[in-house]
Amino acid sequence: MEQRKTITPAKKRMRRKKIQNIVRRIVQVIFFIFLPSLFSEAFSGLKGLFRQIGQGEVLSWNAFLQTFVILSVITILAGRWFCGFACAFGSLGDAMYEISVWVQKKLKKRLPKIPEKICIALQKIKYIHLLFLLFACMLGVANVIENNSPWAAFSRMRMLDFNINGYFIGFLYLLLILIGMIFEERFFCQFLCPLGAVFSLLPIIPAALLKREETNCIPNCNACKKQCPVHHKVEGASLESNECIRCGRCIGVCPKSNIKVGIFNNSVLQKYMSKLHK
Amino acid sequence: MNRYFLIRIAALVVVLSSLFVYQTKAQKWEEAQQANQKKIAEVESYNRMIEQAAKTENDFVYNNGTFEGSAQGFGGIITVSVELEKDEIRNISIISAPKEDEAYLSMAKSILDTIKEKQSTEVDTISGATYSSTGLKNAVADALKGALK
Repeated sequence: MEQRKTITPAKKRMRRKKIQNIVRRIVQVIFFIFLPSLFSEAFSGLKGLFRQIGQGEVLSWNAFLQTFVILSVITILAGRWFCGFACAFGSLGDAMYEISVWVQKKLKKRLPKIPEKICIALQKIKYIHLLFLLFACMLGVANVIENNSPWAAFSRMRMLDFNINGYFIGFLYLLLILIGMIFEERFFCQFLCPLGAVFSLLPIIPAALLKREETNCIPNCNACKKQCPVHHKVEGASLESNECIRCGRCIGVCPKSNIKVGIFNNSVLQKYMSKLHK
Repeated sequence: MNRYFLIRIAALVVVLSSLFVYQTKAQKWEEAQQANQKKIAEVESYNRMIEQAAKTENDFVYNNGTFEGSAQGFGGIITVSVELEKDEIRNISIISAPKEDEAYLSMAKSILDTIKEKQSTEVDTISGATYSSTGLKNAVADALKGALK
């Protein structure tokens, strides 16, 4: 009993953060094993739409489009949980970065960090990437892209098929992304992911976004932003609010437990809750 | 209400409604196209009937019966069986495709209908399921090769 009392709030937070991290990793591994192609299926659904528009065909419903619509609806209602917990490419990025951090610790050497401002600027590349890919689909050269895309290369590797012939560009692109993942957490998700770009443009309902009462914050604390894999400033719905991939790290790290999902940070609701407590 | 949220909702509504407008237009185009194609198909099937009636047993290129063929798909070998009668593809079924992704394979299957419809393996692959549909197409071509007299 006495031992329990010695746990300081800081230790408690650390423990909460650790548990949160382990839960997320377990969920990611489960999705990686059982549903690894959700990302490419959903994006294929979107590409299919644009291909059909380019050809003047009637838009048809298919399994890929269904995956895309389901993921979009979940994102609008609850935020980008898919990105943080389920996407195989995101999990791959996390694994690469985690390994990189571990190696850096062992070697006691640090890789140079990409400055935060540059990161936030680079995050806009994904919209250009998305436009380029969809435009190519409309022009009917989707097959060229599919043959050379990094996720085609990735899924071939997952099938333990290392035959590079004919897929050289895809493998090279994947290799470059893997190198990027070593330097920056969620490298692909932040800067390149076309599906992430779509999700960033969706109207995620503000009640589902993370929010904080800035007046309660310790001045210049910024612990949440420093921990954030996508360099996001928690502030409810904003220009960059949809970058959040719901990893939940900021919630765990906040020394004042200041960050909550929007609906639970609503002043009306809080008053009501405090009345209930009384 | 938050203005970023409202802008995003407005953008989504614009996208969805333009998709809807496109869809109604595209359906009209397709109706016109289908009516046209139906006429072509009628003429073609009539021609084929006359050609086949004129043919004797020895004129057929393929043997009658069910033939198996296989080709490389996405993850591994796909095997199909093709039922032939009087040089006509009557039926195609997938016998095994152990390493194909279920979702992709079900997309790719529609290429079999196109092959039956066109009575040819010279058809476009299914975009989004390129590897699996190419595999199916090549497997049918392989089966046809085996059926040659």
